[in-house]
Order: sequence, then structure tokens, then C-alpha cells
Amino acid sequence: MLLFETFIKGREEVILRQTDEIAEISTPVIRVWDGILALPIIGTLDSSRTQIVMENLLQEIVETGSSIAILDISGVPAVDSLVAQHLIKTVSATRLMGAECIISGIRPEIAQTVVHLGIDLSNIITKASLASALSYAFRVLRLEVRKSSAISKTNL
Amino acid sequence: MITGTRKKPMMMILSLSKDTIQVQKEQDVVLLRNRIREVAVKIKMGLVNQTKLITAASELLRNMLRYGGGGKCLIEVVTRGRDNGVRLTFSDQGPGIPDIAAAMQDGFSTGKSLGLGLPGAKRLSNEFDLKSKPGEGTVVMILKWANG
Ligand SMILES: Nc1ncnc2c1ncn2[C@@H]1O[C@H](COP(=O)(O)OP(=O)(O)OP(=O)(O)O)[C@@H](O)[C@H]1O
Ligand SMILES: [Mg+2]
Repeated sequence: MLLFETFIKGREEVILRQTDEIAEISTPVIRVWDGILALPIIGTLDSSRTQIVMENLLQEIVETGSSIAILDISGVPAVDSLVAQHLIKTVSATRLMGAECIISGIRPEIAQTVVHLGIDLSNIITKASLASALSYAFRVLRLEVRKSSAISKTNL
Repeated sequence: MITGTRKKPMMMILSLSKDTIQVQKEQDVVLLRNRIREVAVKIKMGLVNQTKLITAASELLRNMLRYGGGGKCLIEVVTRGRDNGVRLTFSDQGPGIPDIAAAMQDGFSTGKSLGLGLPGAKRLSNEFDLKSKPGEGTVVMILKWANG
């Protein structure tokens, strides 16, 4: 009986440690462009996860001098009031650092749910996809993506 | 508990399956949400309703953990005529809610939070019922029809 309990305890510790490790590796900050950071979030955004996301993000903003961060939530299964609060906090913290934070990847079912829940995200810049967030960021930074008129083979 | 004897016009709500899950810690939330999703998928609930149900459940689960000191959740597949749905009953033996009318208001929170959990869960569900007695605990029932 005691042996069994020790075994269970050991397993629990392993699982807890793995949870921490997964939380860290699954929140990368990507430098998509000079001045633009992207954070794809996959899975549940709980309090400890948000803490890691926020720390990583703020750190990268300082290091890269980025002025725009895109938080992509297409991989987040549900946005309840706690997750929404975490998102709002992250956006506020980013603003305090002098950068703007865009939330992208809001799926239609998430948008409808958030509205019924009564959460006000109107103060946050939101985009349906990472692509539209990126093009918004380009516009803010006055960058232009154009098709070149002639294809020069040497550049390919 | 609310069983098949609701005073709904003519048709009764029957429970087809029952499953009780204990919720004591943060990690149980993800597990339970996945169970609810499985059940919802099984009765062919659409994605929007699934998301609404899971989000409402998530609010009630967090309340149960935060204010009720943990508790349990009964997951039922229910049927009424041709409609199938998922009924969830969250019960805890925590301090209870002294003023239910106040707690159901948008923005009311004793935990310095948004105060959207209870009213939001009600808006996201087809049926909502809250019973609470100070000192005894809280029972919250929500029901979402597959095509509701
Ligand atoms: N299971 C419960 N036991 C005791 N009190 C509860 C319970 N659930 C809710 N309450 C009380 O009702 C209030 C309103 O709950 P509600 O979920 O609407 O808001 P919140 O949890 O404070 O904030 P949010 O859910 O937006 O983060 C809570 O602040 C709490 O005082
Ligand atoms: Mg709540």
C-alpha cells in the first residue's frame, strides 16, 4: 500500500514537471519581421502559462526593440472569462512597454462565445487571422509587400 | 436534483447517460472540459454550441474551485422528444452564495474578477438553474441542446 502511494506520488511529480516543461516549450516568441513579434498560443491559457507568455513577450520586446506583438490564439480551444482577462492583462503590459499588441486567430465560434459571455474586447485590436494581423502590422510600420514586376533569376 | 419531472410543455427531459467527475484542482478542469466535448460530439452538437457549452462549464468549474473549494460535476446526455442535449450539474459544499440576485448581475464579483461567470454561463446555455444555501453549498445546472 505504502509502495503504491509512493509510486503514485512519483508519477504525479513527473507529470507536474512535464507540465511545466510543456508550458515553456510551447510558448515561443517568433521574430517575424524587424519590429514585429508573433506568439502562437496552443492549448489552454491558464494563469501560470500566461505568466510565462507575458515574461517571454516583454523580454523579447526589450531585446528586439519591437513595437508590435501579435498574440495568435487560433490554437486556444476556449476563451472563458479567465483566459480573456489574461489576454487583456498581456495587452496592457505590452502597451506599458510602449508596444502594441494585436490578438489574432479569433475563430467564429470563439467570437460568438465571447460576445455572449459579455467580455468587452473593443479596446483591443483583434484580427481573424495571423495573416491579417501581419498585414496590419506592416501598414502601421509603413512597410509594403509588393509583387515585383520582373522576376530576376539571380534573386530567386 | 432536477430529474425528468420539469414543468416544460408536454415533453419530459429524460436522462440517457450519467457520469460524475470530481473536481479538486486546476488540472481537473482540462480533463473535464475534454470529457464534455466528447459527449457533445457524440450527440452531434455543432461547433458553436460545443464552444458555448464548454465555455459555460469552464466558468462554473472555476467558480467551484475558487469559491466552493472544489466539488463534482455530473455529465448527462438528455433527450426531449427528438432533441438531444448535454446537462451539467456542478455541486459543491462550499460557503454558498448569500445573494443570488446580486451574483447573477454582470460585473458582480467578490473575487476582484470580471463578474461575468454566472451571468455569462446563463447566456451561453439554454437552461440555467442555481440553488445555493449559505453554509451548505451551491448547485448549478446548465443544459445545452445540440441544436439549441
Ligand atoms: N460555487 C460558488 N460558491 C460560492 N460563491 C460563489 C460560487 N460561484 C460564484 N460565487 C459568487 O458569485 C460571484 C459571482 O460569480 P461570477 O462567476 O459571476 O464572477 P467571478 O467568479 O467573481 O468573476 P469571473 O467569473 O468573471 O472571473 C463570485 O464573485 C462569488 O462571490
Ligand atoms: Mg467566475
